[in-house]
Amino acid sequence: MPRLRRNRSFLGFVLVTAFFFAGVAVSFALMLWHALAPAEQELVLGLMGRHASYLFGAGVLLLAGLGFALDWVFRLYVLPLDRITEETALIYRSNPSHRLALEGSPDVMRLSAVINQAAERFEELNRSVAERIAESNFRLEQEKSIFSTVLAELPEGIVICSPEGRITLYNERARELLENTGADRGRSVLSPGGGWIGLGRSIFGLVAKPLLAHALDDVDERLRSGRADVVSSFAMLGANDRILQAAMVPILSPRRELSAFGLILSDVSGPTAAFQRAEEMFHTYARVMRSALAGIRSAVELILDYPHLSADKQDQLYRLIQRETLNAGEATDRLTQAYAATVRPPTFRRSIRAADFIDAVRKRLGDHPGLALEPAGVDESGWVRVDPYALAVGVEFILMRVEAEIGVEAFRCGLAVRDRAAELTLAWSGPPLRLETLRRWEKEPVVIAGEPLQWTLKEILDQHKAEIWPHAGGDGDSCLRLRLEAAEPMAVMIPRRQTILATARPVYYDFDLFGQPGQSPELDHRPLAELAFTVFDTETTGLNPREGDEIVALGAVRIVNGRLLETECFDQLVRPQGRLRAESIRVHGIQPEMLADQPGAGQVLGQFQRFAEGTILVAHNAAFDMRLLQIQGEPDGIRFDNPVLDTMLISTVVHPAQSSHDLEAIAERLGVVVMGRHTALGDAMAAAEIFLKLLPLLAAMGISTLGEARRASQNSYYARLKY
Amino acid sequence: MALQFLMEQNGYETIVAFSGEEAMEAVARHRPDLILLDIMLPVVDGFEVCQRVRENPEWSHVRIVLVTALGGEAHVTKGLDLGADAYIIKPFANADLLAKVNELLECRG
Repeated sequence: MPRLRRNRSFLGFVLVTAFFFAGVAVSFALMLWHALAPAEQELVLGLMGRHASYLFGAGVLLLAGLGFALDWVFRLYVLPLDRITEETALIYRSNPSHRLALEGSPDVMRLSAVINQAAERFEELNRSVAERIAESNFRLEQEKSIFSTVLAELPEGIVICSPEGRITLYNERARELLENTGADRGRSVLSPGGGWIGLGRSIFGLVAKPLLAHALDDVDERLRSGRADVVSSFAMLGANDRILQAAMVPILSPRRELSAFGLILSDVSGPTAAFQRAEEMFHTYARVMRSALAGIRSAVELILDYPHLSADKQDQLYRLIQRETLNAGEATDRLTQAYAATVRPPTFRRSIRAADFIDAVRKRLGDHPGLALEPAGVDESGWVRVDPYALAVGVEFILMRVEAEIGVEAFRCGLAVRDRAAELTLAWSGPPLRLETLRRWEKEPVVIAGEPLQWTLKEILDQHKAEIWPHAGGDGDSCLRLRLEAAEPMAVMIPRRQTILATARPVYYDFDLFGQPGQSPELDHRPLAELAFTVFDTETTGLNPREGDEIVALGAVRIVNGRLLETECFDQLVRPQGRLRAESIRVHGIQPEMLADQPGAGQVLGQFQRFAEGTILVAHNAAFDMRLLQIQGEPDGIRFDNPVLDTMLISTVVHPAQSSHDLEAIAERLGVVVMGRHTALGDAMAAAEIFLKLLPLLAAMGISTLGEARRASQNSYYARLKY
Repeated sequence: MALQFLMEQNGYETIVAFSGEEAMEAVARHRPDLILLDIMLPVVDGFEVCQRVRENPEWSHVRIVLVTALGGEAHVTKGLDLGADAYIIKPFANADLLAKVNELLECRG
């Protein structure tokens, strides 16, 4: 706009100058005319009439010369100065690495060079300040990392919300527990409790409102009655039909007002399912046993009450009793087997290689000089299920006792693994142990190096469902045999996620959101810096939505409180109804076969509508994308009535003197590195970064609310472009 | 009681003991050919009775059949390792028990 204005004002300047010169010339001519005698006047008229073409030519040349001179001045001084003004502002507001091109007159070029030098210093200064800030932030970051790593590694899901229910912190586990994934996403569009987790989003999209309201009331009641236990617990359904146990923990301000609440979520689906199976088993068993007992009882009573029954009848009754006892026996066998497979008490036992366990035992014995344990027949490929520490301590205790009782110091140890059982053998040359001696030891607390531990030997053996007994071999050798559970070899070892400080940031938090008011229709008056934005981009079958071109990919990221939340993104391919144009495949590289199994536009737009709920939509050249959303959402009744901002229009507002406002040009101007250009998510990410850099430039122009930004965009020249 | 009845019906002479200690006394007094030994006995359990019988070389001819409701493989292995000749798990068919007893006594000759 200023360029147009500048052109217009320069035209005015040219006209005024021309009129002024013309006026002066005409006044002189008139004065001269009046000073001449009539004869001289006639002579002049005659001369002018004869040489009119010369005079006219001279006039035109004079005007043209003046025009060229002024245009020269305009191009060399006026326009470059405009550009310099704009780009200097760009340097100190958005991109300190930007430098002015050395163009225009020598004076202008000198000015540009000086500004570039100043920019150099400015950038240097900025860098050193940034370095110092980074340094002092480092320690803070480290503390934050410890905090976030601990949160991320917790087996429980953690969600912290403002009192209005807006999420201000969550960990990855909470996302797993609450957010439907993959195939279930489609369903989540319709079913409640299938929403998205994200900073600034409402918890009510994930947890049923009445449930939360009830828990909040409960917490409130507990707080008011001054109870020490203020946590309210409830059960809820989580993502993919998980059963979650939730605890609501109030977070209080110093004045004991609710300033936030936390939800601690644990997945109890596994134990619940096991309990249900066990209950089912018990009921089945009870039913079979009742019917068997009823049969037996009635047969026995018949035999007792009617002693003169025929032999044939009696035989029938005896067979019935036999049949029912067999039934009862089978039911008992089934229950015993199924129960062991279903109900697994919590245990510290884990799968470990037999050889590794023997190594662990031998290491423990390193502290007992004189006591030797030689491996003999350890199954190298076998695995056992043990608590390595507890059982190694148990074995150490047994060997010390055998040493004291029998006086042997050299032991051989084998560990054979067969099917489901493993047998640990501790052998020595000497007399065998008596069972009653072992039973005495079992009752004693295990004492290692003079320190009694918290277990008895029996407790350790019971934890392992282990049986121990002595055995006397031939030729004076004796041994103790310890029967353990074998384990399946673990083909793939699943390591715990490594914890790396400083870079481990799987927790997303923004405590500023505590102060965020609820969203209202008065959005236009709200400062841009406070709003939540969904920046999105589409890839399409072609460039003409009106002629049936459709979306094939939709990508989006969120900006909340001025921060780009890269992990909260939407990235989805869309199956179009029509054909992909070859030109568009060349641009985005999405092939038709990649789209065959993808959801249709109706489903994806439904999900996207929920993703973008309550935010301002931002896109580059938004008119195009909004047109697509409108046309393709229509059949399913999906309407996007979010306010919209366009990075292209905002760029024309803040940099009117620049000729190009496409994504690459703006990115280069603002120092944004574009990754994954022409993927929907990559372009959305770039647009989001550009948008964040445009915000301070808008603010410098006095545009700080949503309404002002929208009005400025509307007035912009490009706003008339329609798709 | 049923077991005693069954054995007597099949021509065996029986002595009944109700604890581990009683069992040891009975073995010492009557020198039986075969013991049907329950594992779950008060004070001294079946495993221990088994070990004690096997420790005495004079009783090496005595056959031991463990009768157990503990179906676990570990108990069976432990029992056999401690010197039992056979085991039978409750509930059992009378015919199976008789077959096992006959087999063991025939082996002895």
